[in-house]
Amino acid sequence: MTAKEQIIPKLPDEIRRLLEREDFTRLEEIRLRSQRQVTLYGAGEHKRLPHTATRSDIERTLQLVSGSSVYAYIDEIKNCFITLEGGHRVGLCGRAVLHGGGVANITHVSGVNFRVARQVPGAANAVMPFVVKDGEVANTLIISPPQCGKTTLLRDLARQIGGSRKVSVIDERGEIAASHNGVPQHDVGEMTDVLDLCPKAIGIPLMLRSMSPEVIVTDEIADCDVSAVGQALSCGVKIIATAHGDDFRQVLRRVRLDGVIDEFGCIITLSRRHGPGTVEKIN
Amino acid sequence: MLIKLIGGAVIILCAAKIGFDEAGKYGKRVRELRELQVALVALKGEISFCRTPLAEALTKTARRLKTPAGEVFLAAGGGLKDGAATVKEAWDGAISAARKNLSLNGDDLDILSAFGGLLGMSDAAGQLENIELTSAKLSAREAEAEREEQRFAKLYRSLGVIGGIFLAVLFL
Repeated sequence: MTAKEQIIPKLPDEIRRLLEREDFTRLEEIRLRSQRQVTLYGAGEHKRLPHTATRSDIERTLQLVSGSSVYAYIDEIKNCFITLEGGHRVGLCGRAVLHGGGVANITHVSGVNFRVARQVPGAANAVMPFVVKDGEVANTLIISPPQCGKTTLLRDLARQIGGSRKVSVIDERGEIAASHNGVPQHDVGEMTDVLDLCPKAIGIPLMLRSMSPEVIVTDEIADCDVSAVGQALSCGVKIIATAHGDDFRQVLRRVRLDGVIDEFGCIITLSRRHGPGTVEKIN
Repeated sequence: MLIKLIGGAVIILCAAKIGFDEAGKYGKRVRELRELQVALVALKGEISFCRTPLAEALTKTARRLKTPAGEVFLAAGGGLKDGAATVKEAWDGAISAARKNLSLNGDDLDILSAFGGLLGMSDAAGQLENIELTSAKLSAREAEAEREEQRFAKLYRSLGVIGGIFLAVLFL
Protein backbone atom coordinates (compact mmCIF):
# COMPACT_ATOMS: atom_id res chain seq x y z
CA MET A 1 0.00 0.00 0.00
CA THR A 2 1.25 3.49 -0.80
CA ALA A 3 1.38 6.32 1.73
CA LYS A 4 -1.62 7.88 -0.02
CA GLU A 5 -3.70 4.72 0.37
CA GLN A 6 -2.70 4.43 4.01
CA ILE A 7 -3.37 8.05 5.00
CA ILE A 8 -6.46 9.08 3.01
CA PRO A 9 -8.94 6.66 4.72
CA LYS A 10 -8.02 8.27 8.06
CA LEU A 11 -9.48 11.64 7.05
CA PRO A 12 -13.07 12.93 6.89
CA ASP A 13 -14.85 12.58 3.52
CA GLU A 14 -14.51 16.16 2.31
CA ILE A 15 -10.76 16.37 2.99
CA ARG A 16 -10.41 12.89 1.49
CA ARG A 17 -11.90 14.13 -1.79
CA LEU A 18 -9.51 17.09 -1.94
CA LEU A 19 -6.48 14.93 -1.20
CA GLU A 20 -7.35 12.34 -3.86
CA ARG A 21 -6.03 14.83 -6.44
CA GLU A 22 -2.77 15.58 -4.62
CA ASP A 23 0.59 14.10 -5.40
CA PHE A 24 2.00 12.38 -2.31
CA THR A 25 5.51 11.74 -3.59
CA ARG A 26 6.90 15.03 -2.22
CA LEU A 27 4.35 15.53 0.55
CA GLU A 28 5.77 15.71 4.08
CA GLU A 29 2.86 16.91 6.21
CA ILE A 30 -0.91 17.34 6.18
CA ARG A 31 -2.09 19.76 8.87
CA LEU A 32 -5.59 20.18 10.21
CA ARG A 33 -6.13 23.06 12.63
CA SER A 34 -9.53 23.91 14.05
CA GLN A 35 -11.18 26.75 12.09
CA ARG A 36 -8.21 27.09 9.70
CA GLN A 37 -7.65 25.88 6.21
CA VAL A 38 -6.17 22.43 5.74
CA THR A 39 -2.51 22.87 4.80
CA LEU A 40 -0.06 20.62 2.99
CA TYR A 41 3.72 20.92 3.41
CA GLY A 42 6.34 19.40 1.17
CA ALA A 43 9.75 20.23 -0.26
CA GLY A 44 9.89 23.53 1.65
CA GLU A 45 6.58 24.81 0.28
CA HIS A 46 3.09 24.93 1.68
CA LYS A 47 -0.30 24.79 0.02
CA ARG A 48 -3.70 25.66 1.49
CA LEU A 49 -6.63 23.49 0.47
CA PRO A 50 -10.06 25.09 -0.06
CA HIS A 51 -11.52 23.57 3.10
CA THR A 52 -11.65 24.95 6.64
CA ALA A 53 -11.25 22.21 9.23
CA THR A 54 -14.10 22.16 11.73
CA ARG A 55 -14.12 20.76 15.24
CA SER A 56 -16.11 17.78 14.04
CA ASP A 57 -13.59 17.18 11.21
CA ILE A 58 -10.89 16.90 13.86
CA GLU A 59 -12.96 14.66 16.12
CA ARG A 60 -13.79 12.40 13.18
CA THR A 61 -10.10 12.26 12.21
CA LEU A 62 -9.17 11.27 15.76
CA GLN A 63 -11.73 8.47 15.74
CA LEU A 64 -10.50 7.16 12.41
CA VAL A 65 -6.84 7.42 13.38
CA SER A 66 -7.34 5.64 16.72
CA GLY A 67 -9.80 3.07 15.31
CA SER A 68 -12.17 4.49 17.97
CA SER A 69 -9.95 2.85 20.59
CA VAL A 70 -8.46 5.62 22.70
CA TYR A 71 -7.55 3.10 25.42
CA ALA A 72 -5.37 1.14 22.98
CA TYR A 73 -3.29 4.18 22.02
CA ILE A 74 -3.39 6.15 25.28
CA ASP A 75 0.37 5.71 25.87
CA GLU A 76 1.03 7.22 22.45
CA ILE A 77 -1.62 9.94 22.90
CA LYS A 78 0.08 10.99 26.15
CA ASN A 79 3.14 11.71 24.03
CA CYS A 80 0.99 13.65 21.52
CA PHE A 81 1.11 11.19 18.64
CA ILE A 82 -0.44 8.05 17.18
CA THR A 83 1.43 5.82 14.73
CA LEU A 84 -0.47 4.63 11.66
CA GLU A 85 0.02 1.56 9.53
CA GLY A 86 2.98 2.38 7.29
CA GLY A 87 4.79 4.22 10.10
CA HIS A 88 3.15 7.58 9.41
CA ARG A 89 2.86 9.64 12.57
CA VAL A 90 -0.10 11.69 13.52
CA GLY A 91 0.92 14.50 15.87
CA LEU A 92 -1.79 15.81 18.20
CA CYS A 93 -2.21 19.12 19.94
CA GLY A 94 -4.92 20.17 22.37
CA ARG A 95 -5.43 20.50 26.09
CA ALA A 96 -3.17 18.39 28.29
CA VAL A 97 -4.82 16.63 31.24
CA LEU A 98 -2.24 16.26 34.00
CA HIS A 99 -2.12 13.48 36.55
CA GLY A 100 0.63 12.54 38.97
CA GLY A 101 3.07 15.03 37.46
CA GLY A 102 2.71 13.68 33.92
CA VAL A 103 0.36 14.02 30.98
CA ALA A 104 -2.54 11.56 31.36
CA ASN A 105 -4.40 12.46 28.19
CA ILE A 106 -4.82 15.10 25.48
CA THR A 107 -8.39 16.39 25.20
CA HIS A 108 -10.07 19.10 23.08
CA VAL A 109 -7.71 18.27 20.24
CA SER A 110 -7.41 21.35 18.06
CA GLY A 111 -4.55 20.44 15.77
CA VAL A 112 -3.67 17.24 13.93
CA ASN A 113 -0.53 16.81 11.86
CA PHE A 114 -0.05 13.80 9.57
CA ARG A 115 3.67 13.28 8.96
CA VAL A 116 4.26 11.08 5.96
CA ALA A 117 6.87 8.43 6.81
CA ARG A 118 9.59 7.73 4.35
CA GLN A 119 12.35 5.27 5.01
CA VAL A 120 15.69 6.14 3.43
CA PRO A 121 17.47 2.84 2.82
CA GLY A 122 21.16 3.51 2.51
CA ALA A 123 21.10 6.64 4.70
CA ALA A 124 23.84 5.07 6.82
CA ASN A 125 26.08 3.92 3.94
CA ALA A 126 28.55 6.77 4.48
CA VAL A 127 29.03 6.04 8.20
CA MET A 128 28.87 2.23 8.08
CA PRO A 129 32.67 1.79 7.65
CA PHE A 130 33.20 3.76 10.88
CA VAL A 131 30.47 1.97 12.86
CA VAL A 132 31.46 -1.55 11.77
CA LYS A 133 35.26 -1.78 11.72
CA ASP A 134 37.01 -5.10 10.95
CA GLY A 135 33.74 -6.95 11.47
CA GLU A 136 33.28 -5.42 14.95
CA VAL A 137 30.49 -3.02 15.82
CA ALA A 138 31.79 0.06 17.63
CA ASN A 139 29.76 1.66 20.42
CA THR A 140 28.32 4.63 18.57
CA LEU A 141 26.83 7.95 19.64
CA ILE A 142 25.04 10.06 17.03
CA ILE A 143 24.83 13.74 17.99
CA SER A 144 22.54 16.09 16.15
CA PRO A 145 20.08 18.94 16.55
CA PRO A 146 16.41 18.12 15.73
CA GLN A 147 15.39 17.55 12.09
CA CYS A 148 18.91 16.62 10.97
CA GLY A 149 18.14 13.01 10.23
CA LYS A 150 19.50 11.22 13.29
CA THR A 151 16.54 8.84 13.60
CA THR A 152 16.71 8.08 9.86
CA LEU A 153 20.42 7.32 10.24
CA LEU A 154 19.82 5.21 13.36
CA ARG A 155 17.05 3.24 11.63
CA ASP A 156 19.26 2.46 8.66
CA LEU A 157 22.13 1.43 10.95
CA ALA A 158 19.70 -0.97 12.70
CA ARG A 159 18.59 -2.30 9.31
CA GLN A 160 22.11 -2.86 8.00
CA ILE A 161 23.61 -4.25 11.22
CA GLY A 162 20.42 -6.24 11.93
CA GLY A 163 20.95 -8.07 8.63
CA SER A 164 23.67 -10.20 10.17
CA ARG A 165 23.63 -9.62 13.94
CA LYS A 166 21.09 -9.89 16.75
CA VAL A 167 19.91 -6.33 17.33
CA SER A 168 17.43 -5.12 19.95
CA VAL A 169 15.78 -1.76 19.37
CA ILE A 170 14.41 -0.05 22.46
CA ASP A 171 12.00 2.34 20.81
CA GLU A 172 10.87 4.56 23.69
CA ARG A 173 9.24 7.18 21.47
CA GLY A 174 8.17 4.76 18.76
CA GLU A 175 10.14 6.64 16.11
CA ILE A 176 12.81 4.16 15.05
CA ALA A 177 10.62 1.24 14.00
CA ALA A 178 7.28 3.15 14.04
CA SER A 179 5.39 0.09 15.29
CA HIS A 180 1.66 -0.12 14.62
CA ASN A 181 -0.08 -2.63 16.91
CA GLY A 182 3.34 -4.08 17.76
CA VAL A 183 4.49 -4.60 14.17
CA PRO A 184 7.47 -2.48 12.98
CA GLN A 185 6.35 -0.46 9.97
CA HIS A 186 9.92 0.34 8.89
CA ASP A 187 12.48 -2.22 7.86
CA VAL A 188 14.81 -2.36 10.87
CA GLY A 189 16.66 -5.54 9.89
CA GLU A 190 16.06 -9.27 9.55
CA MET A 191 17.46 -10.11 12.98
CA THR A 192 16.13 -7.11 14.86
CA ASP A 193 13.74 -7.27 17.81
CA VAL A 194 11.79 -4.17 18.80
CA LEU A 195 10.58 -3.26 22.29
CA ASP A 196 8.04 -0.56 21.58
CA LEU A 197 7.28 2.48 23.78
CA CYS A 198 9.33 1.24 26.74
CA PRO A 199 11.56 3.64 28.70
CA LYS A 200 15.22 2.87 27.99
CA ALA A 201 16.20 2.55 31.67
CA ILE A 202 13.70 -0.31 31.99
CA GLY A 203 13.94 -1.68 28.44
CA ILE A 204 17.72 -2.12 28.16
CA PRO A 205 18.02 -4.54 31.15
CA LEU A 206 14.86 -6.37 29.97
CA MET A 207 16.26 -6.94 26.47
CA LEU A 208 19.66 -7.97 27.89
CA ARG A 209 17.99 -10.73 29.88
CA SER A 210 15.38 -11.86 27.39
CA MET A 211 16.69 -11.43 23.84
CA SER A 212 20.51 -11.82 24.26
CA PRO A 213 21.28 -9.02 21.78
CA GLU A 214 24.72 -8.34 20.30
CA VAL A 215 23.80 -4.72 19.64
CA ILE A 216 21.28 -2.44 21.35
CA VAL A 217 19.92 0.47 19.34
CA THR A 218 18.10 3.29 21.09
CA ASP A 219 17.42 6.99 20.69
CA GLU A 220 17.91 10.17 22.70
CA ILE A 221 19.71 9.01 25.80
CA ALA A 222 19.40 11.15 28.91
CA ASP A 223 20.85 11.12 32.43
CA CYS A 224 18.40 8.53 33.68
CA ASP A 225 19.49 6.03 31.00
CA VAL A 226 23.23 6.16 31.65
CA SER A 227 23.31 3.38 34.24
CA ALA A 228 21.32 1.04 31.95
CA VAL A 229 23.76 1.85 29.11
CA GLY A 230 26.65 1.09 31.48
CA GLN A 231 25.04 -2.23 32.36
CA ALA A 232 24.77 -3.20 28.67
CA LEU A 233 28.39 -2.19 28.01
CA SER A 234 29.61 -4.23 30.98
CA CYS A 235 27.88 -7.29 29.45
CA GLY A 236 29.87 -6.81 26.25
CA VAL A 237 26.80 -5.68 24.30
CA LYS A 238 27.39 -2.85 21.83
CA ILE A 239 25.31 0.31 22.02
CA ILE A 240 24.23 2.58 19.20
CA ALA A 241 22.42 5.64 20.54
CA THR A 242 21.56 9.20 19.65
CA ALA A 243 21.66 12.40 21.68
CA HIS A 244 20.20 15.85 21.06
CA GLY A 245 22.79 18.61 20.72
CA ASP A 246 24.89 20.70 18.35
CA ASP A 247 28.19 19.08 19.29
CA PHE A 248 29.90 16.61 21.60
CA ARG A 249 30.70 19.17 24.30
CA GLN A 250 27.11 20.35 24.52
CA VAL A 251 25.91 16.76 24.97
CA LEU A 252 28.49 16.13 27.71
CA ARG A 253 27.29 19.20 29.58
CA ARG A 254 23.69 17.98 29.49
CA VAL A 255 24.08 14.21 29.90
CA ARG A 256 26.44 12.81 32.55
CA LEU A 257 28.16 10.29 30.31
CA ASP A 258 31.54 10.49 32.11
CA GLY A 259 31.49 6.87 33.26
CA VAL A 260 30.75 5.34 29.88
CA ILE A 261 31.96 7.80 27.24
CA ASP A 262 35.40 6.17 26.89
CA GLU A 263 33.69 3.04 25.63
CA PHE A 264 32.22 4.88 22.63
CA GLY A 265 34.55 4.26 19.69
CA CYS A 266 32.52 6.20 17.14
CA ILE A 267 30.94 9.60 17.67
CA ILE A 268 29.06 11.03 14.69
CA THR A 269 27.91 14.64 14.55
CA LEU A 270 25.17 15.62 12.10
CA SER A 271 23.80 18.91 10.77
CA ARG A 272 21.60 19.96 7.86
CA ARG A 273 24.17 22.19 6.18
CA HIS A 274 23.77 20.26 2.92
CA GLY A 275 20.27 18.98 3.71
CA PRO A 276 19.22 16.59 6.50
CA GLY A 277 21.76 13.92 7.34
CA THR A 278 24.92 15.94 6.58
CA VAL A 279 27.77 14.23 8.46
CA GLU A 280 29.82 16.99 10.09
CA LYS A 281 32.34 14.97 12.01
CA ILE A 282 33.21 11.37 12.90
CA ASN A 283 35.54 10.80 15.88
CA MET B 1 -64.27 -38.64 9.57
CA LEU B 2 -60.65 -39.59 9.02
CA ILE B 3 -60.04 -36.29 7.28
CA LYS B 4 -61.64 -34.46 10.20
CA LEU B 5 -59.38 -36.31 12.64
CA ILE B 6 -56.28 -35.54 10.60
CA GLY B 7 -57.35 -31.88 10.35
CA GLY B 8 -57.91 -31.76 14.11
CA ALA B 9 -54.48 -33.26 14.77
CA VAL B 10 -52.88 -30.71 12.44
CA ILE B 11 -54.64 -27.85 14.26
CA ILE B 12 -53.48 -29.17 17.64
CA LEU B 13 -49.88 -29.60 16.41
CA CYS B 14 -49.78 -26.12 14.88
CA ALA B 15 -51.21 -24.46 17.99
CA ALA B 16 -48.82 -26.45 20.20
CA LYS B 17 -45.90 -25.36 17.98
CA ILE B 18 -46.89 -21.70 18.34
CA GLY B 19 -47.13 -22.13 22.12
CA PHE B 20 -43.74 -23.89 22.34
CA ASP B 21 -42.11 -21.27 20.13
CA GLU B 22 -43.44 -18.46 22.32
CA ALA B 23 -42.29 -20.30 25.45
CA GLY B 24 -38.88 -20.92 23.82
CA LYS B 25 -38.32 -17.18 23.42
CA TYR B 26 -38.18 -16.81 27.21
CA GLY B 27 -35.44 -19.44 27.44
CA LYS B 28 -33.57 -17.90 24.54
CA ARG B 29 -33.66 -14.46 26.12
CA VAL B 30 -32.12 -15.86 29.33
CA ARG B 31 -29.38 -17.59 27.31
CA GLU B 32 -28.64 -14.46 25.28
CA LEU B 33 -28.42 -12.29 28.40
CA ARG B 34 -26.05 -14.83 29.96
CA GLU B 35 -23.90 -14.95 26.87
CA LEU B 36 -23.70 -11.18 26.62
CA GLN B 37 -22.21 -11.17 30.11
CA VAL B 38 -19.65 -13.78 29.05
CA ALA B 39 -18.88 -11.61 26.03
CA LEU B 40 -18.28 -8.60 28.27
CA VAL B 41 -15.81 -10.60 30.39
CA ALA B 42 -13.93 -11.55 27.21
CA LEU B 43 -13.97 -7.95 25.99
CA LYS B 44 -12.72 -6.80 29.37
CA GLY B 45 -9.69 -9.09 29.02
CA GLU B 46 -8.96 -7.80 25.53
CA ILE B 47 -9.13 -4.19 26.68
CA SER B 48 -7.48 -4.34 30.10
CA PHE B 49 -4.62 -6.79 29.46
CA CYS B 50 -4.04 -6.73 25.72
CA ARG B 51 -5.15 -3.18 24.84
CA THR B 52 -6.48 -4.69 21.61
CA PRO B 53 -7.99 -2.03 19.34
CA LEU B 54 -11.78 -2.12 19.40
CA ALA B 55 -12.48 -3.53 15.92
CA GLU B 56 -10.26 -6.53 16.59
CA ALA B 57 -11.43 -6.92 20.22
CA LEU B 58 -15.08 -7.06 19.10
CA THR B 59 -14.38 -9.58 16.32
CA LYS B 60 -12.34 -11.78 18.67
CA THR B 61 -15.13 -11.67 21.27
CA ALA B 62 -17.74 -12.58 18.63
CA ARG B 63 -15.83 -15.77 17.80
CA ARG B 64 -16.42 -17.09 21.32
CA LEU B 65 -20.20 -16.65 21.15
CA LYS B 66 -22.80 -19.07 19.85
CA THR B 67 -26.13 -17.26 20.10
CA PRO B 68 -27.16 -14.40 17.75
CA ALA B 69 -25.60 -12.08 20.39
CA GLY B 70 -22.31 -12.82 18.62
CA GLU B 71 -23.69 -11.24 15.44
CA VAL B 72 -23.83 -7.85 17.17
CA PHE B 73 -20.14 -8.00 18.11
CA LEU B 74 -19.11 -9.36 14.71
CA ALA B 75 -21.05 -6.74 12.72
CA ALA B 76 -19.88 -3.87 14.95
CA GLY B 77 -16.24 -5.03 14.67
CA GLY B 78 -16.60 -5.31 10.89
CA GLY B 79 -18.16 -1.84 10.62
CA LEU B 80 -15.27 -0.31 12.56
CA LYS B 81 -12.61 -2.16 10.60
CA ASP B 82 -13.88 -0.60 7.39
CA GLY B 83 -13.21 2.76 9.04
CA ALA B 84 -16.42 4.19 7.66
CA ALA B 85 -18.37 4.38 10.90
CA THR B 86 -18.02 5.78 14.41
CA VAL B 87 -18.40 3.29 17.27
CA LYS B 88 -21.95 4.42 18.06
CA GLU B 89 -22.98 4.12 14.40
CA ALA B 90 -21.33 0.73 13.98
CA TRP B 91 -22.74 -0.60 17.26
CA ASP B 92 -26.32 0.62 16.77
CA GLY B 93 -26.26 -0.57 13.14
CA ALA B 94 -25.14 -4.00 14.34
CA ILE B 95 -27.92 -4.14 16.95
CA SER B 96 -30.66 -3.26 14.46
CA ALA B 97 -29.30 -5.75 11.92
CA ALA B 98 -29.25 -8.59 14.49
CA ARG B 99 -32.50 -7.54 16.15
CA LYS B 100 -34.79 -9.93 14.27
CA ASN B 101 -32.67 -12.91 15.34
CA LEU B 102 -32.46 -11.82 18.97
CA SER B 103 -34.98 -12.69 21.68
CA LEU B 104 -33.98 -9.68 23.79
CA ASN B 105 -36.70 -7.13 24.53
CA GLY B 106 -36.60 -3.36 24.02
CA ASP B 107 -35.19 -2.58 27.47
CA ASP B 108 -32.38 -5.13 27.04
CA LEU B 109 -31.50 -3.57 23.70
CA ASP B 110 -31.49 -0.09 25.29
CA ILE B 111 -28.85 -1.28 27.78
CA LEU B 112 -26.77 -2.63 24.90
CA SER B 113 -27.15 0.57 22.91
CA ALA B 114 -26.10 2.73 25.89
CA PHE B 115 -23.04 0.48 26.30
CA GLY B 116 -22.05 1.20 22.69
CA GLY B 117 -22.31 4.94 23.28
CA LEU B 118 -19.37 4.87 25.69
CA LEU B 119 -17.33 2.23 23.89
CA GLY B 120 -13.80 3.11 22.82
CA MET B 121 -13.58 6.78 23.68
CA SER B 122 -11.86 6.70 27.07
CA ASP B 123 -8.88 5.10 28.77
CA ALA B 124 -8.90 1.45 29.83
CA ALA B 125 -10.20 2.27 33.34
CA GLY B 126 -13.18 4.12 31.85
CA GLN B 127 -13.86 1.23 29.50
CA LEU B 128 -13.79 -1.27 32.37
CA GLU B 129 -16.27 0.82 34.35
CA ASN B 130 -18.61 0.85 31.35
CA ILE B 131 -18.27 -2.92 31.00
CA GLU B 132 -18.87 -3.56 34.70
CA LEU B 133 -21.89 -1.26 34.84
CA THR B 134 -23.43 -2.93 31.77
CA SER B 135 -22.65 -6.37 33.18
CA ALA B 136 -24.47 -5.52 36.41
CA LYS B 137 -27.48 -4.26 34.47
CA LEU B 138 -27.54 -7.38 32.29
CA SER B 139 -27.27 -9.61 35.33
CA ALA B 140 -30.35 -7.93 36.85
CA ARG B 141 -32.19 -8.40 33.54
CA GLU B 142 -31.15 -12.05 33.50
CA ALA B 143 -32.66 -12.64 36.95
CA GLU B 144 -35.88 -11.00 35.77
CA ALA B 145 -35.86 -13.02 32.54
CA GLU B 146 -35.48 -16.23 34.54
CA ARG B 147 -38.49 -15.35 36.68
CA GLU B 148 -40.51 -14.62 33.55
CA GLU B 149 -39.39 -17.88 32.01
CA GLN B 150 -40.61 -19.81 35.04
CA ARG B 151 -43.94 -17.96 35.04
CA PHE B 152 -44.79 -17.80 31.35
CA ALA B 153 -42.92 -20.57 29.50
CA LYS B 154 -45.08 -23.33 30.97
CA LEU B 155 -48.17 -21.18 30.53
CA TYR B 156 -47.54 -20.65 26.80
CA ARG B 157 -46.80 -24.32 26.23
CA SER B 158 -50.06 -25.40 27.95
CA LEU B 159 -51.97 -22.58 26.25
CA GLY B 160 -50.77 -23.76 22.85
CA VAL B 161 -51.79 -27.35 23.39
CA ILE B 162 -55.11 -26.53 25.13
CA GLY B 163 -55.96 -23.82 22.58
CA GLY B 164 -55.26 -26.33 19.79
CA ILE B 165 -57.51 -28.92 21.38
CA PHE B 166 -60.24 -26.32 21.89
CA LEU B 167 -60.09 -25.22 18.25
CA ALA B 168 -60.05 -28.82 17.02
CA VAL B 169 -63.11 -29.68 19.11
CA LEU B 170 -64.84 -26.54 17.83
CA PHE B 171 -64.26 -27.54 14.21
CA LEU B 172 -65.16 -31.17 14.73
